[in-house]
Amino acid sequence: MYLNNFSFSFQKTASSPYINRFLSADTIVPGAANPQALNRYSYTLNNPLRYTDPTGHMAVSDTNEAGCSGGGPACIIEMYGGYCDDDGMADSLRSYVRRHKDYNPATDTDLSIEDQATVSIAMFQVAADDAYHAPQTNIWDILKSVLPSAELIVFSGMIIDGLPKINMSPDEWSGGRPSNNYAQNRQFKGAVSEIESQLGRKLNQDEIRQIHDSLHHLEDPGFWDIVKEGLNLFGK
Amino acid sequence: MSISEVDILKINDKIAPLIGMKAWGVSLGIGSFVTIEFGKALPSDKVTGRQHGEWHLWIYCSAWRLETEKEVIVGSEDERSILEDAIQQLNGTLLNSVTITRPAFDTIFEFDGLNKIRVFPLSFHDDCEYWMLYTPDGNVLTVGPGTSWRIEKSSKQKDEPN
Repeated sequence: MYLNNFSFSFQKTASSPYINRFLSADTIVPGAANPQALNRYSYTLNNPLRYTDPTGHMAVSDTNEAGCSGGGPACIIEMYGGYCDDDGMADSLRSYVRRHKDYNPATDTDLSIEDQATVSIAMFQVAADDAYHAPQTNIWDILKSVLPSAELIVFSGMIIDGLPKINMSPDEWSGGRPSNNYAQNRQFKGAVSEIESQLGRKLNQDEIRQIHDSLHHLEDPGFWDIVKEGLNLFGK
Repeated sequence: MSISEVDILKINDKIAPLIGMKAWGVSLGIGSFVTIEFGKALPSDKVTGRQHGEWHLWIYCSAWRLETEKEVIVGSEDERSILEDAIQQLNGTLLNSVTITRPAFDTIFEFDGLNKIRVFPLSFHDDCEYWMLYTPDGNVLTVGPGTSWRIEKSSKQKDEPN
């Protein structure tokens, strides 16, 4: 991904002890694909209790947690933040919001406002991807629906304003294989849900197995490859 | 809600005929999915061309490791090319035992040659199943998500009554 023109980290910057944010932008990119890293003024992924930033460039977990049991966006952000795995975080957040259509980050009390914006960006990317594959959709209507609060609109606006600078197509956001195997498992599950949604019925276990079997000829199936395959097999 | 000993016993009952069968058609699917065939080969699927055994194990939304008593051979987040090679050593080996433990349906499939696949769920508040076993009677045993498990006709539409 090519977010370099847009991302900043925070080497040698002054930090306010009261707000734990940097007062000036950083100079290098700690994790280009992590929407949280797009907040050029945040310190240690907005979790100074859990992470430190000894180099000024990267948040480091001092608890070395191997995982978490919550499964929601707060858990995803914490877990992948601990590993500094920005691609994994972004992929997992997109996978999560695909599978939880009614999820609203603005009402998720486990998230800070910045984390809510991080999830909103993942929702925006998914929505943009959907719009890309369904051109009749008005992307701005989707955008309004995924940014449920004025605060998030303001915060995410900082980032969305930078999107034209990003050399990345919607396909790159969710097409192709996610950066870790488990995320791709969940992408398959999410694609099955999308197929069911488009068909207006649940798939049975034989049908789900058939979809998986039929993907063997594809080298690197992405979300929409899986959906297309499912609709070809059982679709309208 | 927690998993009870009775849950484990019922699942073990369903799995019991699998013990002593030879694994074949071991395959890495999407991501870290692993599928293993057991029993007689069924006719190939007319649409996909894939051939399954009477018993078809699908390790789904779980992490897993292939290991021996002494060492880990691969883990499910290793590079797929490494995984693909490693799991092939299960082909042709007999399944010696299946051990399921509480509180999270951790499952060890132990094969001849001391190879084990240790399956352990990572998410407990999600909708993604841990593993599935298609059986010769047309049913599928689905373990997970969370503390749930079920047996149902694999061809049953989800909105049909039982």
